[in-house]
Amino acid sequence: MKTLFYLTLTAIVLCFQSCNGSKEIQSEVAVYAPISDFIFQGSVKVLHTSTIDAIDPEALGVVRVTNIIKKSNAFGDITGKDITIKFSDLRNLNEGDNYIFFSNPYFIGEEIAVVETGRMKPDESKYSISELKSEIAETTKKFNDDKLKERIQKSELIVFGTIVSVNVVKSENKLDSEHDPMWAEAEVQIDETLKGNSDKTVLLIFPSSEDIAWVNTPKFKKGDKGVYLLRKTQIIKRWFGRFVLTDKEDFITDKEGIDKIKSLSK
Amino acid sequence: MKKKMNIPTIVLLVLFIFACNNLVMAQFVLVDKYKYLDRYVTLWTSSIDVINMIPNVQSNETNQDSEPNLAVDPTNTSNIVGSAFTPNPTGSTSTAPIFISVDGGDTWSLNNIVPSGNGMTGDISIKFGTSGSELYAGILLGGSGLRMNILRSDDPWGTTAMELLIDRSNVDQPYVNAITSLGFRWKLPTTLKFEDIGLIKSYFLPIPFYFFDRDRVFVGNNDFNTGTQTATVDHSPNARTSPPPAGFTSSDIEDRTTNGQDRPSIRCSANSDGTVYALFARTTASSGNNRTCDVTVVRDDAFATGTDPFSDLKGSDGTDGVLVATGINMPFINAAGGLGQNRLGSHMSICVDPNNSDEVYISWTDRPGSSGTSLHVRRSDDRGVTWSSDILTITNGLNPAVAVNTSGIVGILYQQLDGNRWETHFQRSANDGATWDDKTLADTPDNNPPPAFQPYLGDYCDLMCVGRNFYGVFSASNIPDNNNFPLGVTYQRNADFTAKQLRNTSNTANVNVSIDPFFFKVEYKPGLIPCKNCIVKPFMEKNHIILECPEADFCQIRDQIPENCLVKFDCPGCERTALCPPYFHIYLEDFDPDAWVVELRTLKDEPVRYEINKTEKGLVLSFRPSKELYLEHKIGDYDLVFNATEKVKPNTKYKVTTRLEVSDYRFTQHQKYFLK
Repeated sequence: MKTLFYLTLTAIVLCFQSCNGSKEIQSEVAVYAPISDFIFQGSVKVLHTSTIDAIDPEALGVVRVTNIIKKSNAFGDITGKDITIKFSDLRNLNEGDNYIFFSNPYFIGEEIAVVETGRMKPDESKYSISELKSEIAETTKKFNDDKLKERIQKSELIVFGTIVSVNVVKSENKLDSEHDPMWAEAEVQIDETLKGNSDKTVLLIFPSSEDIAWVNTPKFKKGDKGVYLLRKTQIIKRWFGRFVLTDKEDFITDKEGIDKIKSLSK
Repeated sequence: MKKKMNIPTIVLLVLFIFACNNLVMAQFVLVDKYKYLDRYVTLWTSSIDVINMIPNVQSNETNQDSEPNLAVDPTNTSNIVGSAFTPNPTGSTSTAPIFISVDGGDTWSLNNIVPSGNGMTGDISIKFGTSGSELYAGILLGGSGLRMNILRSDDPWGTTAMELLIDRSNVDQPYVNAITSLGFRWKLPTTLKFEDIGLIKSYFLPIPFYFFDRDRVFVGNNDFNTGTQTATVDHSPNARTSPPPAGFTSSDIEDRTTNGQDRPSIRCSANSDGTVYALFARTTASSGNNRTCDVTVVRDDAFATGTDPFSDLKGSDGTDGVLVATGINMPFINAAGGLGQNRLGSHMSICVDPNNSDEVYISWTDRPGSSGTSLHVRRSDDRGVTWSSDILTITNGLNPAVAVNTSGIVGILYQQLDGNRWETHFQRSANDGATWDDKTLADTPDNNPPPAFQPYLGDYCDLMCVGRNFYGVFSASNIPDNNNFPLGVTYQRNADFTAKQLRNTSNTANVNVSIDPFFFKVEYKPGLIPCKNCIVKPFMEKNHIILECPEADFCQIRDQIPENCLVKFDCPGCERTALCPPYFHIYLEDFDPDAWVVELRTLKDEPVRYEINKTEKGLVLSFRPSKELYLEHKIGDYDLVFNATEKVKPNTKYKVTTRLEVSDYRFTQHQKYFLK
């Protein structure tokens, strides 16, 4: 009985310690991780200088990357590389210090330079690097889910269906511009309404132009199947009151994304 | 008894000051380091280098980086900025990147400082002023359609996003031209910086005014807010430091009626004497895809500072602007198939001779028949009043870019569809277009890769001159095949030229073909100098360098830096510093900076990024060697160059005390953190 008591007590104490450590990293990660493309552990080599040709290196420093926590989309594995960092706060920062840096790359080439968004002291007694990575992944997932929830909340109509026809709308713009959106109208046959009310079909407007100005907008064609998050535009004067879809994140085709929207829309 | 100035002298002085208020001193605008050699050099040779601009860390990228543009810093041609339809590689949507180089275009990096709404830009064009290193950009804000931003940055290598000067919607294709002229100010500023006095400090007059650089910036654009006369130039007489809108005003330059609008391309070119030309095409009729147009040139003789800008060149009808060509067809085909995989719109370029504003070249593309195109180059030598017939005509040519160097050589960059391949050409003429020297920079397939969007290669390329040298950019398929690049090519991104495959960053897999921007430069070097002992080496002893010129005229002393480490001072390597290579600070004391113009060049005489700081006893030249040129315990493959001025007496020894300091810091931080 005594043994069981002490075992339980030990378990409670251990849990308390890890939970507290977990809480510490949760708060910092929650703030910095969603706004940081590149998260790494590094040691400060030199302050007030840089590996790039900076005109004013006063707020810069050179940091050696010792461990990558979250890889950047902009470059590969740079473990062991000396990079330039623009510090958010130079106070209490010394050469030889070791930190987890949250950052965003701005200079990308043979040399790399990042802007610090925040930092935290590594403390293996409270959390491991793998725990930190997990926390960051969780935070990022939550951040993305929150963004999706916001997108769902702002949508007036969400449907799952298939494009059955697409017609280019005659341009009312008489001027030649290579950036003309070339508006088109797509008819969606609705299989399921996830939010709002609709008939069996719904019409949406989208830019069919292949110009650079519209490169990141979805280009619908007959047969496209997925979830459509629709809002009536308040910006594009010609289409006031109509559903206009210009953001590719408002058209989801992968099963996981569709299931998530279905569950969040309930 | 002290003589007072009489009234006529005072009047003359006041008139002089008023006259000088917008005076442009052309000889101070362009810094030509070979000016010394003009009297001697009889032969210039040129070399052409073509470089793929994608950095090695971006080897995975497969973007369509089309429609490139270029800005070379005339005060230091090692500093170059490029642009293309390149997305922010981090995925961030708040900024878009520019390409930057600090070694004259040999290597490139990305820097995310262009404001954006979607991580890219729409149209983008960039230029430095001809002095002062301020970068200007005209963009269509990414994600915002026809929303023009005019931007500036005094540090394109830094973290700060470019500063917004002008924000106006319903505007198309902003295109930047910039030139720096000398101006006067009445009062001394509270803080007089060395650069405010600049090159002409020896002419400082004893009355309270001083010289300062003015950046004259001209942004041609197609402004749909102006009705049917859409050709517009936004211009500023002094854009460098004023708060937004930095002196910009907008001038409608189309004086004739149009059939709805002018074509998208509005292009400007300015000369340091105040002459500014603008080129555009006026639509006179429209049928299907065809657009009947008149090619029009307007001119302003005072940097567009008058009450009616761009009204100094009249056509035969008495209206502003000469019609160079009338009734031509510039089809508007906004899809693949316009010419090859590229669309067709308007494709135009203009350049004034930097040494003679009477001479100006223009180029445009039109469709004389039912398909294909014809690219035309024409010349005027009477300030745009009359024009030659074609001095060059290219079948199926597109994206012309003309430039004229300080030797009067005209260059044109263009892309030509030949069957199902795109050839990128650079042609030069030293005799006003009578004969041309044609180089093929690239010969790449039209349909590999297929287009991801329009424009496929671009609505324009870019070409510019600094001094005698030409610098250009074009976009093309990036298949790593030596046959595609007749003059050779250098790739930073991983590529297997044997297998003709792009490789990823870790070199473990192939990467799909895409469109990349390519930079090229045509550098002129003196080949023959018929003066004995024009370029000599110095004498050296421990801690001293002894300069002596044998000639009364030109003299240049080139001190090979590695030799210094054997004689003058000890040269540490990387063992004392965290940075490798470290910063080297070469002190030159008991030295008159007014007698000798000091600079740093590579052993191949290429430009180098360095800084010079004055000290009580002379100056300090500070730099950080590139990894390629760094030599352990020998600093690197560089020359310290001393150019003698008129103050130097021949056959006279000038003993300069030298010493070296090495640290992790640029000079300001070196003094602050290393020496304390």
